[in-house]
Amino acid sequence: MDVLFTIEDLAKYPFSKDSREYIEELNFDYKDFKGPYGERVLQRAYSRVNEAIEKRVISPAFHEDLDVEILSFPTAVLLVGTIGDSLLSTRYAIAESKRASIFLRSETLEKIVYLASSTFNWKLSLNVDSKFEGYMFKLHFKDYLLHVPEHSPAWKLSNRVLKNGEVLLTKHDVVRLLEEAVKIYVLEHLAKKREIEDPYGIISPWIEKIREIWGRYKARIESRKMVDYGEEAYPPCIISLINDVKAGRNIPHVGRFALAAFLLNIGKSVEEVLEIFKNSPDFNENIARYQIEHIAGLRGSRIKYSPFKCENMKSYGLCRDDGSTCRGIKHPLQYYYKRGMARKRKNVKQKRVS
Amino acid sequence: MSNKSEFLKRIFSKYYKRARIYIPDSLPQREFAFVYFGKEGYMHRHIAFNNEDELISHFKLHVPRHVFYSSAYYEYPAASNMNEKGWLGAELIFDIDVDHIETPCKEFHDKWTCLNCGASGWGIPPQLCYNCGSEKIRRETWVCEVCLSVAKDEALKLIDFLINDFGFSKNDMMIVFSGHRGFHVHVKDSEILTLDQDSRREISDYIRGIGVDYRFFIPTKPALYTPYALDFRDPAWLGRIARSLYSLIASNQLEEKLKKAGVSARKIEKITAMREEIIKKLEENPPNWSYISKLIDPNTWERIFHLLTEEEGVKIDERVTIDVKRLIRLPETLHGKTGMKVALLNYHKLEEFDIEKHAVVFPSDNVKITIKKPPKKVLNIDLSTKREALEVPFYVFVYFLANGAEVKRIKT
Repeated sequence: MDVLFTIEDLAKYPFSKDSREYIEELNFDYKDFKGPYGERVLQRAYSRVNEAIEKRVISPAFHEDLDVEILSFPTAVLLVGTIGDSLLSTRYAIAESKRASIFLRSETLEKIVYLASSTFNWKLSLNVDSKFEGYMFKLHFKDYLLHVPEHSPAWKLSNRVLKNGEVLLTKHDVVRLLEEAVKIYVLEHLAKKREIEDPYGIISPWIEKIREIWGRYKARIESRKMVDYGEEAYPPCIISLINDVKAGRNIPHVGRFALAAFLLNIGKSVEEVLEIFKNSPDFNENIARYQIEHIAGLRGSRIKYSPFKCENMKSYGLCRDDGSTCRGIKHPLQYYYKRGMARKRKNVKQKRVS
Repeated sequence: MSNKSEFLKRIFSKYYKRARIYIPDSLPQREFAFVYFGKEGYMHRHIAFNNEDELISHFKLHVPRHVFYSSAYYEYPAASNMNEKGWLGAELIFDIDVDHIETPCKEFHDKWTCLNCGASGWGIPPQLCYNCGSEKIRRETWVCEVCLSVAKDEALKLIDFLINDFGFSKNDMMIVFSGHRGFHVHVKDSEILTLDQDSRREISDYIRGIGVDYRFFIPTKPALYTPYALDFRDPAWLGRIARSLYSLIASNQLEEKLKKAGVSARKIEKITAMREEIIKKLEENPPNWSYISKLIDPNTWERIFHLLTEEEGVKIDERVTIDVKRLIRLPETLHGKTGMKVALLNYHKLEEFDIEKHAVVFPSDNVKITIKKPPKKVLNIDLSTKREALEVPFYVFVYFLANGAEVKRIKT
């Protein structure tokens, strides 16, 4: 397929194979950070990271100099990767993937196919079977399975059209899967070991600047996260799962996943979670530990999993909302923090009164 | 070593003298495991061979009773710590074993005994002893022609999924008779060797029909998703659901099946009353789903889908498929509990599977035996009419012996 990748495209998708080749041709080196041009690249790289931290997504606006724009991506990866904070890395990777997703949504089908196959080696092609209107793409099931963004009925392979090894997909599906691929790509690059050459001391101040804003942000989050609001703040679905486990009842795989992911996300350690699962009738410490560590992001894909959002908990039959308890709640973790903080405020008030 | 074990070892040794056992690809990267005669309680693991000759001479020297190899490839297959083996990838494997499938014949040949109180019975063993509640239950299982025919149908269904849905070629598939009550299918397509557990679970779920959600297939209110417009010729679960729903509605066991699926008597009555109408609407081209879907309530659809996926899905042992470090029987070796060959088949041989032709390696000349408390049925032999002495082919005698029956050969 003949697809023309313009310089704007390189700026839209700075992780693409074409961009990598272009950057190589620019022959930009550590020493080139010195001077006003390098300064602009560092400034733009910093703004990418800053936006990721503050807004969770990097806006699609380009720097006026497209070369600066393109170079700022590997530079930002360099800055974030050097800091080596896994939470920051994930946040930055997600923000880059969301930025790419914004562009991909209005991209031509041909360009999407080109990008997916050249950059990620996907076996993606256009679907010409007129029976399945709206399903413009077909993708090898392996690429599909490795990039499924969430455990939900809509992404379950069983509910998909799978023929001759290819899954039929809508444009929306493919963009979502590519978003996941970009995230994994950025994460992999952030994790690479690197030694910075910074003879003029130009790069380090930017790293420090990012450390500072990230530190401030993290303190805000951690102060909220590390407070143990106790089981009173658990949503009914989680309480029900805990009760089932405690009673030695067998709960489905998705239920175990939801429970473990919830507990890990509110700051419980692998050991603490393991302790809860010890009552399961088929408990096997090795297997359970492996799975919990996997969910905690200590193994495999190294991605820390979130519990399912409410919509998916409902699909799995795990939701225990009676229609009023969870009003306005979209995610079990949201319930926990909201409830927890409300209780805290109440306690403070009561203390003042007494 | 008991006389029985010695006898079995002697005839196994004869087999291995001339047998051409299967040599896995990338042999030096595979782990092997053996159970030897006289040391049946222990599995010798973490064994590796540099080449074919080493492997073959191990057989000649040790004459193993059971032989397994890893579906995985390792950098250091002989390392005794799983984490130090250096996993490189694994075949995608499927295990169909009648142990996990309900069959009518188990009443005739599967026996359980409680090791605590001595209670016993025929058929599928209970989780806990009926009499004393103990978990210590010993099982005695036998294979008969019914088991094999059920397992074969499942294996053929599995291969349909692997070819038509997953697009694997027959050349990438290895079909094996397990030597006892089922079949193994290995897929070696280079694309899938490095798949992780999560992806393998998805594949396993797909083949078992786990997670098939009626809301994607049938227009319902409130609509959560845009449903597919199913047709009988459709690929994937779409066609399976359409075809299977049609045969369910047209089936003369409709009421019975719905009842088993937990549909209430009132609703069953309603559905059977509309049967002709549903069939007519299904036969329209394309089927009139918006009409059909309204005739049945969501809750009942869910139950019907459970029924359909149960019938269309393949009863594989999902643990085997998900495990990326599984040990599995080595083809063309002998199964130590049956004396039959773990036989390498192909699609055609599976279709026409005949245990005597494909897996029996010992002579079929009749021998006279006496047997105490035999199962009522083994292979194609009916033992329900009890006789003191009977005549069976020699390989059946070996099977009795290997599987722990109280059998004696009468020398004539």
